[in-house]
Amino acid sequence: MVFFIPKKFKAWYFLLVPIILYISLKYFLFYEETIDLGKLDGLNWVETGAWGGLSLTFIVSFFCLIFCFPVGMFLALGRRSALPTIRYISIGFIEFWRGVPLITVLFMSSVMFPMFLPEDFFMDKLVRVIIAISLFEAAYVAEVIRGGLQALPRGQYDAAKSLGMGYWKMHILVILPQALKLVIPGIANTFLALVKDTPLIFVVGLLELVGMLNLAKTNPEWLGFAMEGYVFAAIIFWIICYAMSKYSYNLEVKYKTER
Amino acid sequence: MPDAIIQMKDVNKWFGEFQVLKNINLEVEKNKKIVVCGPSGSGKSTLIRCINRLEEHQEGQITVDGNELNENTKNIEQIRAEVGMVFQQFNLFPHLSILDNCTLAPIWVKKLPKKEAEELAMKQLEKVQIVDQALKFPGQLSGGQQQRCAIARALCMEPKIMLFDEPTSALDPEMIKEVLDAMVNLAKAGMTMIVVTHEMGFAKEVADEVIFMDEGMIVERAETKEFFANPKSDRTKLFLSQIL
Ligand SMILES: Nc1ncnc2c1ncn2[C@@H]1O[C@H](COP(=O)(O)OP(=O)(O)OP(=O)(O)O)[C@@H](O)[C@H]1O
Ligand SMILES: [Mg+2]
Repeated sequence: MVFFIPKKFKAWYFLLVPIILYISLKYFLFYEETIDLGKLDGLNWVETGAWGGLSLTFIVSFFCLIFCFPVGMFLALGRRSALPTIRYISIGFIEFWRGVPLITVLFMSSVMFPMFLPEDFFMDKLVRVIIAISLFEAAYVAEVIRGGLQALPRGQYDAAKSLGMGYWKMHILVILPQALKLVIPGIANTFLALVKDTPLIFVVGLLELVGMLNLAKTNPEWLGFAMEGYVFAAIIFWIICYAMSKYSYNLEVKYKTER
Repeated sequence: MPDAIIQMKDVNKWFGEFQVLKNINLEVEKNKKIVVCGPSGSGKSTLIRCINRLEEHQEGQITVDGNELNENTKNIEQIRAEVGMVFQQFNLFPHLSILDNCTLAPIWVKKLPKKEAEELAMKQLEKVQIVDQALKFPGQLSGGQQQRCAIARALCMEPKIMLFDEPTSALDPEMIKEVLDAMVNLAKAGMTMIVVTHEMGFAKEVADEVIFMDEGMIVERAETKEFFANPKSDRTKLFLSQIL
């Protein structure tokens, strides 16, 4: 296993630990038991449909950010591809997802999508929602990245090609590092919008922070405290978004080189 | 000519309706230095960009080191790796240091070990006299230094042929000499070179032959001395009288 450890160890790799733990626990070790007993060392099995609150905000945002970025990158490259099939598929995909409201996409993902699947095929609702949001946001990310690709002078492509680099080497080593650096502010914008779009998952019955709040304010004991609740949720969202925006700014500074 | 390293036969090229190259025939032997000159828009850049297929020609044959360039060419990357190119706008990679600019292609295209690539890069940077700048970024260098780095970067691939597209025309006069010096040294080391330039001093010093282009055609091709002493066509005479 030693050789899996990257040379430059970064703090964020720790984020992978709970994910790996979760996946391995759920699928490799205790799958049968958890389903059968509904219990794991005194912990109750909680269906994803019952997950909620701030943790759900984080889970949905985190996975969507991780998935939409590479998809968007490939779409951006696809849209500029010299191969017509790839180009038209990318254009069609991007224009489709950009043209429909997120709320209908979410609705479709939970109501329509299962109709097209075989009876015995089961996909978790949360997973479906994450895929839907990721694809939706990927279309936006793709256009932002395409803007960055377009901003690079043709000379960079010429120089890379003249050194004998093929399509992938040229893009990975020369074009994308520069283009992605240029679009950090645009990507941050899209990501902030994504985080603030997560409350919409209430349409499929998933309640994250704001959804929970809407539920809680109907509780007779908390009647009249809706205002406080919304302000509190707003503050939490502001903190998350401000942290992200700060982080993106730090990235910009870190990768800044004289032109 | 069997030992011609570059052969162009009846090459025609169009940009849309507009014909940029008309019936180009050109052979370049190994170790020869050719200077290409001509008025703006005459197709000089297009001509040399066809040699490493940065531009595609529509008619005729181009053969580089025994490989014909056409849409079926599978090993185009391999051919390009053997043909170095230096551009008017330098085109260094701004996100990489000077040293990384030079080692990038040797490491990823030629698969040299990093250490070996760095040694090679330092050797080439030494030749163009910018070793002391190796860890800086392109944006921190003067134009002349950037262009010398671009030459070093191309040389790090140990090419058989070097193409230069007006390497000095984006530079201030003081910097032109340092770049030309680097090119003269390269020429003296025996490199096969095709140089698009208006620096006639350079042509007189190193070129074996000079080619004059106008309106997409090779109007005149002659030994350097002959070219300057007795230009044959009137168009060449007019051009020379304006430029000298
Ligand atoms: N990508 C392109 N699409 C359409 N026309 C082009 C393209 N590139 C060049 N041309 C045209 O082809 C002609 C020749 O261009 P080229 O760049 O080869 O000239 P040049 O001799 O290098 O000129 P200069 O001395 O200004 O660099 C010009 O008229 C130019 O407008
Ligand atoms: Mg030109």
